[in-house]
Amino acid sequence: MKMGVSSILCFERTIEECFKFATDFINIEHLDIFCCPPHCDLNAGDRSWLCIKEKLIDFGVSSSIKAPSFVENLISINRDIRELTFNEYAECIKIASKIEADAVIIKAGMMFYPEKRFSVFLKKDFIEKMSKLLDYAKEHEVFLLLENYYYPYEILREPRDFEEMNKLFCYSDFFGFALNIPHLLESGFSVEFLSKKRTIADRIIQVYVGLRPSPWELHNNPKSEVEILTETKKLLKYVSPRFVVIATRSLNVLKKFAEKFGWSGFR
Amino acid sequence: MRALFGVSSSIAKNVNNASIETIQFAGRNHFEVVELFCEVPDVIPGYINEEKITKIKQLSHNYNIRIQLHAPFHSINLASFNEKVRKLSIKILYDTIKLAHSIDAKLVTFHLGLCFFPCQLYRERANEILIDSLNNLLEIAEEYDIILAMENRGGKLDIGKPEELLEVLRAVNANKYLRITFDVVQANVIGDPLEQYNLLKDYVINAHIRDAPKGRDMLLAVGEGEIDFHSLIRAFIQNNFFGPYIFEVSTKDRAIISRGVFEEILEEIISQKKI
Repeated sequence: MKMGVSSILCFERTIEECFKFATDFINIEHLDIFCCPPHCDLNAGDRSWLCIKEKLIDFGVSSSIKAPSFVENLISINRDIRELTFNEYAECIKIASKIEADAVIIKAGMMFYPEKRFSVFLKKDFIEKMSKLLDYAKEHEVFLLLENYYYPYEILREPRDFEEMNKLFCYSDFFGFALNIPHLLESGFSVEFLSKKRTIADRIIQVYVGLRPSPWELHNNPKSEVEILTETKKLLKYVSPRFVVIATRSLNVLKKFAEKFGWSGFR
Repeated sequence: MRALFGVSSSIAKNVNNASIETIQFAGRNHFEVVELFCEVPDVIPGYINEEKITKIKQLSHNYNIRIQLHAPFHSINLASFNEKVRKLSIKILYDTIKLAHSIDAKLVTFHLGLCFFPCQLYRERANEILIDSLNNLLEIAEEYDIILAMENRGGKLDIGKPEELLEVLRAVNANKYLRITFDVVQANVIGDPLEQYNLLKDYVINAHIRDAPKGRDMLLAVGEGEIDFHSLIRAFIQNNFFGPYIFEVSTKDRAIISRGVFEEILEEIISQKKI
C-alpha cells in the first residue's frame, strides 16, 4: 500500500510546481493528479504531460489521474453531454498510459428526473460506454476506477450501488473502485459493509481520505477529521488498497492525517 | 391589464410526447402560454425532428397558444473553467435559440451554470468566463430576436442568486435581450421570495409559479406549500407585471388548482385596489 496525496493540495500551482511543493514537506509515494483547470488541463498537450512524466520518474513517485468530474455525466439524458464525458474519460486513459499512471478515477454518473424517466435506455447506453472504456483501459494497462459521490442523484453512492456496478463490470481485471470515505459518510453509510462484501473489498484499488462533506469542495468541516480517521482505520482491516490518497488543500490537515496513519517522512 | 397564464410541460405524463400533450391540455383548459422543457426526448434542441416542429407550430397556432422554451440545464455551465464544457454549454443554448426561432417562440429561460470548486476559488475569473459566454449568446439571441431569461436559482452550487443576476445585468449593460425568469420556489429555497422579487423586478419578464414548504424545492400547487402568494402577487401587480405566470407544477390537476387560487388572490387584490 502506497500513501499519496491529491494534487488538490496545491491547486493554485501547476502540477509541475506541485511536486516541488509536496516534496518540500513530505516523502510522497503517490500523486493523484486532480485534473481540473486552471490547475491541470486535460488538453494541455503532449509536451506538458511528458514534463509531468519526467518529474514523476525523477521523484520516484507513482500516479493516478482523477478525471474531470463536475458536470460530467456518462448517463445524461443529453447525448452531447454523454459524448463529452466519454471522450474526456477516454482521453484520461490515453494520458495515463503516456505518463505511466496506474489508474484513472471517474465519476459514474447522475440520474436526475429526466434520466429516471428513461432509465432503461440510459442504463443500457451507460453499460456500453463503460465496456468501451474498460476495453480501452485494458489496452493501455490502466485501472479504471469508479468513485462514489454523495448527492442523492449519484448512481454510485451507497453499498448496493457498489454491488450493482461490481456485478456489471467485474469481468474486467481493469475495473475497480476509488472509495471516497468522506462521500460515503456524507451519504449516511459506513465502511462496515465491506467486511461482508469480499468481492467489492477486493476491487477497492484506491481510497480517498479527506474532510467532509467532500475533498473536492472549497469548504470542509474540520470536526469530521476524527470520524474520518476512525473509518479509515476500520476500512484498512478489511481492505488492502494499492493507494491511500489524502485529499485536502490544507497542509495542516495533511500533516494530521499523515501522522495518525504513521506515515513517516514529514519534514 | 389582463393576466397571462401558462403551463410548463412538467405536467406531462408521457415524456415521449410531452410537448403535444401539454399544448393540448393548455388549449383545452384555456391557458395562453406553454413553456416547453427541452430536456425530454421529444424536444431536445439540435435533435428534434422537423415533423415534431411542424406539429408544435400547427397545434399552438390552432389553440392560439404562445410557446416559450426552457433550455436544458443539467450539466450546463456557462462559467466552466473547462473550455470543452463551456463550449458545449454555449452550443446547447445556441441550439435552443434556433429551436425557439423555428417554432415562433420569443423567449428562452435558461440557467447560468454552477459554481464548483475552481469557480469558488477564482470567483472573479469565473465571472469573466460567464460574461464572455453570455456575450456570445446575446449576439445569437439578437440575430434571432429571442429574449434570453436567466432564472434565479437557490441551490448551493447554482449561479443565479439575486445579487449575481444583477451583477450579470450590469456587466452586459442591461442588454435588452437579457431578462429574468423569476422562479418563486427557487427564491423560497434561500429566503423570502418577495424580497428577492423586489430586487429583481425591473428585469422580470416571466415567472415560474409553484409552491413548496420553506427552504424546499418542490413542484406543488399554489396553496399546498408555505409561500405567501398574497404579498407576492400584490408586488407583481404594483410593478405592472401581469405574466406570463407559468405554472411549473407536477400534474395537470395542480396546474388547474394553481390558476384557480392565483386568480382568486388576484381578483381580491384588484378589487381592494378599486375600493
